[in-house]
Amino acid sequence: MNPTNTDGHNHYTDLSQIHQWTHEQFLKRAKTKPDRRCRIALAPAQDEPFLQGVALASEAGFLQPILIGNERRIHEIIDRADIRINADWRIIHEPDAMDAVAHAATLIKQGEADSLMRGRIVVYDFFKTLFHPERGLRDRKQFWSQVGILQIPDFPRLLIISDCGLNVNPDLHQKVRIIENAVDLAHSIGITTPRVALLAAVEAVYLKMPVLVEESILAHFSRRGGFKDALLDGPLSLDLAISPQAAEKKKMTGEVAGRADILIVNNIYVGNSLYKSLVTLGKAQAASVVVGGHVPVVLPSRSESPQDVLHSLALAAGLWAQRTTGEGPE
Amino acid sequence: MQPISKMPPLRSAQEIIERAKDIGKAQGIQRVVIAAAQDDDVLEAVHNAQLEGIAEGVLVGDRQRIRSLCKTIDVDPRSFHIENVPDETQAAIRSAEIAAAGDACAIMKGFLPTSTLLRVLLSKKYGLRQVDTVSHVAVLTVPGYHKLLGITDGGIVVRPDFEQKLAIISNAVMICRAMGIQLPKIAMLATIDMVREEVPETLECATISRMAEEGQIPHVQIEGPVSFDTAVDRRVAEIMGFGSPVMGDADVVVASSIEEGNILAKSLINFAGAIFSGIIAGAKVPICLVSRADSAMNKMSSIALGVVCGAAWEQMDLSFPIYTDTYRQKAW
Repeated sequence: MNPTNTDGHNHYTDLSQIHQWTHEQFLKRAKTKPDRRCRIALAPAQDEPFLQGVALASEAGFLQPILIGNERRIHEIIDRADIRINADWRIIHEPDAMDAVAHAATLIKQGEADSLMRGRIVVYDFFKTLFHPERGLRDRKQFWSQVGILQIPDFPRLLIISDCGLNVNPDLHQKVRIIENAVDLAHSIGITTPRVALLAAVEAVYLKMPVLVEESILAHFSRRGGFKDALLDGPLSLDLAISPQAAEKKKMTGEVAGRADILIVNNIYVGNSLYKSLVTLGKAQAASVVVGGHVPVVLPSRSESPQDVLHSLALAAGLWAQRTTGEGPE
Repeated sequence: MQPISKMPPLRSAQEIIERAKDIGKAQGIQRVVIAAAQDDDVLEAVHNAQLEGIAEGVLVGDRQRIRSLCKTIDVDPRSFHIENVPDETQAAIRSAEIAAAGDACAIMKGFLPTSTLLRVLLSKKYGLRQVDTVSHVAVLTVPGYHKLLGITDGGIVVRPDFEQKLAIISNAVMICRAMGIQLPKIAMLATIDMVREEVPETLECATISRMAEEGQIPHVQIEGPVSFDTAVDRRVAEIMGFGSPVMGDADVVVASSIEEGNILAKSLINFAGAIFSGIIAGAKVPICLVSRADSAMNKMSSIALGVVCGAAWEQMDLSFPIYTDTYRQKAW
C-alpha cells in the first residue's frame, strides 16, 4: 500500500493503513538495524484503558512497554481487567506522578526507552516535567506540537488536525512551526504534498479580526514558498475546507478548498472542541502524537478507547522505526 | 393553550417544526417579517414554511426583484404580502417597525449584511433593543445525543469579554426557556475540566460557574471549565468522576471565541449529521437567518425556531437579572 503512488496527495481512507505503514517501517528498519520492538515508557501507568491499549500494541508485535508508576496499583489493574502481559514488559515503581514522568525522560536520555506516553496525569503537569530544563527532554531549538489523525465515518480520507492539545495560544511564529510539524508528519506517512487549510469562522478577510489577518499572512507566506512541499490556504471555514459541494456553492477556488488533508486551528480551545466533537458525537477513531522532539510522544486523551490508544502507539512506533532507519523527511 | 415556555421541552428539529405549527393552529399563524427579501434562497424557505403552516411571510424589500426571483424559483408572488422598500437599510428599519408594532413575532434576514440589520435592531429608536449584546445560537439535532444541543456564539461576538459572556449566556437561556427547558444546563468550554493558569480561559469559566452557584445568575445551571467530551458524554464524565448534573447532559455549550463556536457547530453538521436551526437572540424579537449552504430542513427548522421563540417571548418577562455591579446599577 502506497498512498502516494498517483499524485502525492492523501489517499489514506482509514487508520488500519497507518498500522500497515508502521509494519513497513519496521521491515525497512530490519534491513539495516537489529530487529526489535519500540520501547515505550508509559508514565504514570496506573490507568485501565491506557494499559489495555498498550497490551493491544504489545500483541500486535511492535511495542515493548515500560510501565512507570505505582507498582501495586498497576498490578491490581492488570489483574482486574485481565490484561495479558508479556515477559518483556518492564514495570518500574515510582509512585509520584511527576517523578514517574521525569523517570521516563531519564530512560529516554539514557537510551533505554525509545518513546513515551502520557498516562494518568494532567496534560499540563506531564509537559511541565518534560519541558523542565534539567529533568525534561526538550531542546530549546525544538518546537513541540500535538497532531491528531482522525478517521471519520463516511468521510473519504483521514484528516490531520493540529494543535488540539498542547500549545494554548500560538503566535504567528509558533503557528508556522505547528504547520511545519504537521506537514512533516504528513510527509513521514507518505503524503508528499498535503493540502493544508487554516480554519476560521469565515473565509472573508475582515481586518478587525486578528485570526483572519494572521491566516492571510500565512497563506501568502506559503504562496512565496514558505512551506516546502505543501499546498496551503486560509482563512477557510470548516465546511469550505472539507466539503467540495460547499466550496463549489460558495465559488471558492484553489488547491485546498474542499480537499484539505490537514486542518490547522487558531488556538487550543478551537482544536480541542473540534477533536472531541469528532471522537464523541462524530464517532471518529483517532491517533494522537506530539511531534517536534527527538522522540514522538504519545498523547491519548483520557476518554479514548483502547483501540484509539493502539492507533496512537502504532503511529509513534512507526515514526520511531522510520527515524532510526535514517530515512524519512528529517 | 398553556404558556409556550411551560410546554414539554423540545428535543429535535422535527419537534421545533411541530410546535411552530401547533402555535399557528392555536393562536393563528405567526408572521415573520423578512428584511430585504430579494433573495431566492430566503424566498424559497419562506414559501416552504408557508406551505407547511409554520409561518406567514411579510416581505419588505425591492418588489420588482422579489417578483422576478419568484418567477425563477417558480413561486407565486401573490402568496406573499409584499411591502416595496428597495433600499436595504430602509428595509431593515421598516422591518423593525413592523416587529415593534407587534405585527410580526420574528425578523428574518434577507439580502443585506447582518451588521446592517443588527445596527437597526440595537438602535434605541425602534424599541427592539433588549440587552447590549446580541449573540447567535446554533441549536443542533445531533444523532447520538439525547437532546437538542445549543452552541453559542459561532456567529456574532468575535472574542467575548466577561460581560459579553454573561450576555451570551442570558440570550441562550431565553432561547432554552422558549423551547420549554425550565432550568437549562450550560457548559462553559475551555479544553480542560480544571482551573489551570496555563489555560487562561478556565479562570473566567470558573468565575461564571461560581456566580451561578451563588445565585447571581438565576434560572440556570452552569458548569465550567469543561471540555467538550465531558459536556456531552456521560460516560466520560463518569470516568473522570464528576458529579455535576450539567456534565454529559448539557443543553448549551458556550465557546470561548467565534472560531470555536463556528467550527464546532460545522463539525457536528458535516461529520455527525446534525440538523441545524440558527437564531440570533438579544433583541426583543428573535432574528432568523439561513445561509446558502443550509439544507431545506435546516432552513425550515430555523424559521420554526424563530416562530417558537417569538411567540414564547411575547408571553414572557424578558428581563434576565444578572447581579453584577453594572447590571445592578442599571436595575436600580
